[in-house]
Amino acid sequence: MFTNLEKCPRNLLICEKSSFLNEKSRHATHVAKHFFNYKVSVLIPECGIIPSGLRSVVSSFSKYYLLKNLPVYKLLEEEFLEKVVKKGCLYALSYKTRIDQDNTFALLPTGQVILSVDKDTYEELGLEGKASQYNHRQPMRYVVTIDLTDKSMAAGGKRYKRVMWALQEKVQLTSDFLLARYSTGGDGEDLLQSFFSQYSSKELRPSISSQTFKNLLCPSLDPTDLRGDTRSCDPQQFLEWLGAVTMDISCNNEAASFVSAYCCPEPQSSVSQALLCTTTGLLLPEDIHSLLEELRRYFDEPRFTSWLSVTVHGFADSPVSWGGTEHGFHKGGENFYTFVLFKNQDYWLHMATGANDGCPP
Amino acid sequence: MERILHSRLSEDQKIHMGLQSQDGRDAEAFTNAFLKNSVPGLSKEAVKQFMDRKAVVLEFSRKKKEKRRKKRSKGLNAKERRELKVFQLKPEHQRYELFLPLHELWKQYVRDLCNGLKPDSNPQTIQQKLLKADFHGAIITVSRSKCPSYVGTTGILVQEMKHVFKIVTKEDKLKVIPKRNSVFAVEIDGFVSHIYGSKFQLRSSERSAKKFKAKGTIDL
Amino acid sequence: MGYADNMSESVSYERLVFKNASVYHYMKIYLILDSDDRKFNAAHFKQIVISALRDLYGEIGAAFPFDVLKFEEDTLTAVLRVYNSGLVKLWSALTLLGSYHSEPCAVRVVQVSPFLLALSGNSRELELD
Repeated sequence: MFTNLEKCPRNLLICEKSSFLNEKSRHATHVAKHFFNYKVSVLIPECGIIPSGLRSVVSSFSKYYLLKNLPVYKLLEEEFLEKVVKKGCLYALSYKTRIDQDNTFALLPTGQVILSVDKDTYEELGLEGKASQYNHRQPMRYVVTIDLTDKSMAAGGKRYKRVMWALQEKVQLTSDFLLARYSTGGDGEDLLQSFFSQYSSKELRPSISSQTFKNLLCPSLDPTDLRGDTRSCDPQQFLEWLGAVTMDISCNNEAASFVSAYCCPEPQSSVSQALLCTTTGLLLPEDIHSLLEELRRYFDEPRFTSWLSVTVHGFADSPVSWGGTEHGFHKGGENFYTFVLFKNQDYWLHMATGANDGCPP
Repeated sequence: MERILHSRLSEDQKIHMGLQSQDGRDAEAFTNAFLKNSVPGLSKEAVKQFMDRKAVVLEFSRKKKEKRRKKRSKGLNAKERRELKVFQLKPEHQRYELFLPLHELWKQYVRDLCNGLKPDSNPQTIQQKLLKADFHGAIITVSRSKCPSYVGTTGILVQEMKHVFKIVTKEDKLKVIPKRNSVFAVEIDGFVSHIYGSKFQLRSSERSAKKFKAKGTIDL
Repeated sequence: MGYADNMSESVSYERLVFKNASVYHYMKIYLILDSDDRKFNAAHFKQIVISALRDLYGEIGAAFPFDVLKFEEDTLTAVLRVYNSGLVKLWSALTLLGSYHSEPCAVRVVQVSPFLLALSGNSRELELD
């Protein structure tokens, strides 16, 4: 009778096991390709205070800007395009726009502008795009991708003029933007500053918070046993536990308890304390990469713990998740990855996505 | 007079005119002999039966109905028109400025139709008038379309067909734009009205007779 | 440090793909009440949800387990864990929950995900103004 009610949208979890010392290890590309990161949380068992190295890396994360009512075409104006956008490392994502109902825009560091627009806007805009992959019977959402590095998009070219006409005169798409640039110290810096001064902008720094847990039940992990046959718990259980810890959910309930029967997965061990350090904002992949490098160095000194974990959450309303793969919001819009770093420079990488998302790389 | 006409002729007169009396017996004998000669296979009885009650219709022919061929009032049929390319614009005539007078004419026509366009005119009545109006010579713009490359095309409408508009753009290009799945904007004296092409797929002559129904929402 | 020696052997590359492997779905919800003087605890809250389920699906239809992983008494916010097969039923029962002890109330669903970890990082909560 209720069989239809028992169906659920699909979700994907990709687990990888490799070593940082392995030359073919793709951890760097995985990090670099996940463009829009909202939150990073680091969990270090057997640690009470933030290690100084970690603190300095986290506090040196790039600042980002909130720009109010920025028309999209301003990002494509000739001077800005040549001196800032084409130099790379510029990330922009529309803020407070919901990808399942609003028009959402993103500028990728690879020089692509992605406009995820609803049907009516698309029909008025007059720019060629593709119907979104996650449409129900009738296409209600379209994705327009403008590759700024393409020859035809050279300033003054026919296609460039068409794009500018569409965004400037036909439909002036405007939104609040989160914008950040990984600074490599170039000449575009002054221009970027003058650009910000034209709009009501706000300079923001990623907010950092930390928390210590006492007497925590903690699953034991063995780097060789990713699947969780005997020496570790399976990846789903581990991620569930990680979530429970981050959200401060109690892990030692009795099996017959009325309220909750959640327990820490086996095999487990008790940890006297654990540190959770969380950073939120528009976080750049470059910064996350340096954080990862710093955490690898954590095991240079002898430590009580054999592993630590880093979880990176993507923006739920970003039009892309990994690289250029289209991202949508079905029930949750989740796209995140978790690194588990081991003492011997091995790592696990768990990448998870919800229903409206491509398979992570 | 009538009596004279129906009276029997006298014997003298008969001889005088050279008439022979047609006596019944003579005629029967002649017929029998003739039949015997021409249909020798039949017995006397059969011939007699055959001769009984036989209506012989003399001198009858059905009047042939004269087929009244209507002469076509039109000079050419569709095929001939196609071959002669009557309605195709020659490339040398596809020039924007060539159609500007037509546009002026159209503007005049619409102003007359709507009793002068003033800023305070009721847009609804103007729209009602425009619905039945002819659009040849109007400057139309594609404001929305399912196909993005049509969006933004502007020009003077030179030919309206059932399913397409043919316009000449400022770049002196003739463009054929399907009515279906597009919304067109027509501007005159500050009034902009939108035409939903999908609901407009009629010849302009048929459109003037069509009743348009008001609908709550329309999608392209 | 015997453990470390055990781990020094290098790990070969391995990739596992799980599709729909998560058996649970997690929901973050909060309860809206007309009057805010009423005090709740987690058990109380679970009782409300169970009675909502029973009202909609009856005794048999509502007979499936779910957990209240967390309940904040001051904000009336809860995190629920439910088997995939029960998600739609639980969600619909929460939607149709209209009153508690003849007092109007409503449940807002903030976030639903097959990963508990995803609930800890909801970018829609980012407030910068």
